[in-house]
Formats: sequence, structure tokens, C-alpha cells
Amino acid sequence: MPMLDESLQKEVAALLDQMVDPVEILFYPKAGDAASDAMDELLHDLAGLNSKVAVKRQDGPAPLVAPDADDEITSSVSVFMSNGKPTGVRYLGFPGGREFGTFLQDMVGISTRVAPELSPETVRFIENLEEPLHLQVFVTPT
Amino acid sequence: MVADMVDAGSFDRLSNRYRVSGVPMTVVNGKAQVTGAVPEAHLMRTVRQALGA
Repeated sequence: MPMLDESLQKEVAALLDQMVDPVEILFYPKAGDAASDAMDELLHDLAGLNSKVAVKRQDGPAPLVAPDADDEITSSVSVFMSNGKPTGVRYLGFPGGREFGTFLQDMVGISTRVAPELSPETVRFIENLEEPLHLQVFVTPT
Repeated sequence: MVADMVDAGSFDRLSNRYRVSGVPMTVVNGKAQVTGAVPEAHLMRTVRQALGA
């Protein structure tokens, strides 16, 4: 049974129609985790709604990004790729509730290469960044 | 640069490490954090603090 009901499928398909370039998601499941199983189903549904969404299920664990520890990766990791390269954007866990919209917007944004609305100062700062930067935004489904 | 959205409920160990009590909460390099949907300038102050810039 699909994760998305028929009406939601139509809404999501309309949103994904805005995609231009293909987006590939490397999916690193977590065995025995219910949220990981749900994410697996959700990604399968999304790939079925638009041919520009490709999901590649990975066998091993997701590459760690400092300072995360191995035992802190308690659910699935989805890595957004574009043109075969990591975009730097990842989703850890399952995007429930309102976060689903954010997840889809991220995917469409990557596909359409929409420039983020940042000040020139911030853009300059990021362009000149020489050390690793890891931003983690914690959210809960609402 | 890596930007993660983290489902706090599924990543309880990670959430506990940073004592996530409100969302959204942004953690930078595990060193500095800010709670709430703060303006860009505020977030960038946190980023600079984490990088020692």
C-alpha cells in the first residue's frame, strides 16, 4: 500500500512537475527502525511519481560527518545528489508533518538550481570558506 | 559544507547530545547552537562563533 494517498499523490506530483534536472537520493536505511522503513516507502512512492527522482538504496552505513558518532546514526540518512555529486544537503530520519513540504521544496530547489535568498556578505563568507562546516537543523514533525 | 535536517525523534542520541528542547535548533560543527528560526545575521554570528572566525 502506498505511503501517500491518492489525493496527496496528485498534489506531490504537481509539485514535482516543477523539477528541471534529475535529483538522485542515496538512501542509507537503518535495519530494524520503523522510521527508516517508512522513509524507504516514501522515497519509493516519490520515485514513482516523477522520473526525475531517482533513489539508490545503499548497503553500508552512511558516511559519517564530524562530529557525529557511529552510534548516533539511529535512523536512515538520505543524501541529495545532483549530476552524480553530493549537494551537501541530507535528510536524517523521516520528514513527517509539515517537514514533508520542506523536504519536497529542497528537492525541487536542487533540481531547479534556485539561488538561496542570502545576503551578499553571507554568500562571500561561504564562497571563501576553507574549513569544514556542518550545519544540523533539528526539527520535529508538526 | 554539509547541511542536515535532522528528525529529532528518530535521532534521539544526537538530540540528547545537544539537549534539543525546542525546534528548529541549529547546531554548527557541534560547537555552537541556536534555537528558533532566527534571522540570517543571527545564524551567521553562530556560524562564525563555531569557526572562531
